[in-house]
Amino acid sequence: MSYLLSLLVPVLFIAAVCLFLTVVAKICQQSGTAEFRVNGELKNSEVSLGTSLLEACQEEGIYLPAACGGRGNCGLCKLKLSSGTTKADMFEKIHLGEAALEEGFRLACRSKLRKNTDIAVPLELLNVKKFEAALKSAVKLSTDVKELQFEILGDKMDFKAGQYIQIYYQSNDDKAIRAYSVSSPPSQMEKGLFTLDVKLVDGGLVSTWLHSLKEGSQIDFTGPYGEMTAADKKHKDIILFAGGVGIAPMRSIIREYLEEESKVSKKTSKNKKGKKSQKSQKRLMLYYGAKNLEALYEHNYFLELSSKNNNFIYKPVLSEPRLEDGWEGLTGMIDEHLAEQPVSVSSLILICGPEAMGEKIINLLSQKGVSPENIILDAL
Amino acid sequence: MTLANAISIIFASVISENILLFYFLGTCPLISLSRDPEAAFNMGVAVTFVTTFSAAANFVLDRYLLGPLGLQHLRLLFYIVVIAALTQALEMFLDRFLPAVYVSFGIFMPLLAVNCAILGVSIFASLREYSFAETSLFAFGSGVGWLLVVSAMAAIKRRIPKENIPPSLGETGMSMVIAAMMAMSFWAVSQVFKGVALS
Repeated sequence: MSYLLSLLVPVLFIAAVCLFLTVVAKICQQSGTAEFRVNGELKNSEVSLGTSLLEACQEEGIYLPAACGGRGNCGLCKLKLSSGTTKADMFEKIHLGEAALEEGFRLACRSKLRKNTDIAVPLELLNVKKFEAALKSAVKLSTDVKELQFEILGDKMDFKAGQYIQIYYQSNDDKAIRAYSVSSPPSQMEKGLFTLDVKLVDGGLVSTWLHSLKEGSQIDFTGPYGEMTAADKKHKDIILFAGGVGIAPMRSIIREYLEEESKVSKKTSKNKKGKKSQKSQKRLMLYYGAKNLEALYEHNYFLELSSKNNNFIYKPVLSEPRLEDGWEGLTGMIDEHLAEQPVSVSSLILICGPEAMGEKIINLLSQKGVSPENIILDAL
Repeated sequence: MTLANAISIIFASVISENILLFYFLGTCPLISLSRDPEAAFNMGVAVTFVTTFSAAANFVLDRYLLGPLGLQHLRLLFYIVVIAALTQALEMFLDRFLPAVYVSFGIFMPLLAVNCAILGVSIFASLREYSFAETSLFAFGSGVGWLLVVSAMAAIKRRIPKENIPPSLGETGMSMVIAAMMAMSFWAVSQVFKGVALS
């Protein structure tokens, strides 16, 4: 009898608790709708109250950057509310600060629609679209990094070298969004192809899924996102700082640079007078930091490139070289070597890597007189 | 419950037998919480709220269901279900009816479903055979004690980046050292009061 009770009572109790929660959920269900405007234009007059601004935007085909999947960790979905501002939560206070909050800035993933709301979305984000692609090939670059080449299905994506995309993962139990930089140049996209360098993160939901994809598997993604690009910039010197898998967008930038160089040299060779174009004088310097030689993928390619091309300088740095690496190059952290290096204050600086690395480099460059306008950080 | 008994329960739960520093329950947020004292305080309020409500609900459950049916050995299972359901229900309630309160501490509710301090308070109250009033008071005091320690820790941790701490210890190691020093100071305060009471 007592065994029966021990089994029956908990089952009935859990069923009662489930019933209680269902009733509470019904009572607490947000009732009513509100108007949702984007840049003053009415998008939807009946959005359910309680919907997050990120979801409301997605329903209207506006795909804001949200690399953390809408958990309030990355702060990328920052936008300004012209009306409908609500009290900010802890995540918004951490990412935005008091001054921005007072100006009406909020995180779209944390702010919920409580009344008629008008949000200001920058034009470049309104151009972000949703795409589908199928895996064409997968190449192992190091023990934990794979280069995945995808073939885009349908319309091509118009992106600049250095930008990133957001991949949407969905299974029966989970859904997540993750950001990955495109490592192929824009010219590849014209052929309908693009590559991503995906690092396998221990316990990572999306990276594990991407590493297990078979040829032909399809993915959904939105893009392009990101300011870290050298396109349309007139700087003569460009210095790239990459930490670990932060080399991915730099690979895209370097390949595009080489393609431009090749076009310029063809034009120059045709020109009988031998006048050099302005573009050919662009110089590129790459600081590439990794733990050991195995993690420094594409090292040989960059070495060869720097030996052939006088306008490309390559400085690899290993933080923990192994004995078998036989490493005789720079060791430690990138910023330690930057301190002794003269830097032209008019250089364009692009940084992609861990946030701590980026902050140290920015501090050093500021001390050297580089204007913050010339520095772009894409923190991993 | 006499006034002396009430004071004794409150003093023990907040200071001398602090749920965090004396029983080492609910230490995860203490170590991992940000250096933001406001966030720490809000989480402390949420813990106090949930601890008090869940201990009261678990008392009723223990007294009127598990006791008469002789199912006290299943306490742990029932208490966990009650705490999880209560945090879920409170989160939904705050989100719907008190959005301003929700953004302050409602966002911590899902984390509290697995906070061992909240479960520990309910179990201690049952084992000590407290009455309903004693249970509620003990739970409230434990929540306030937790709030006190976490808020103090957040305020102290803000100073860590400005100090020269041993690199091998790091912020986590320093949190443990600070917690140990706080435990000693809480114990010292309780001894002072004990001395005053004896004299």
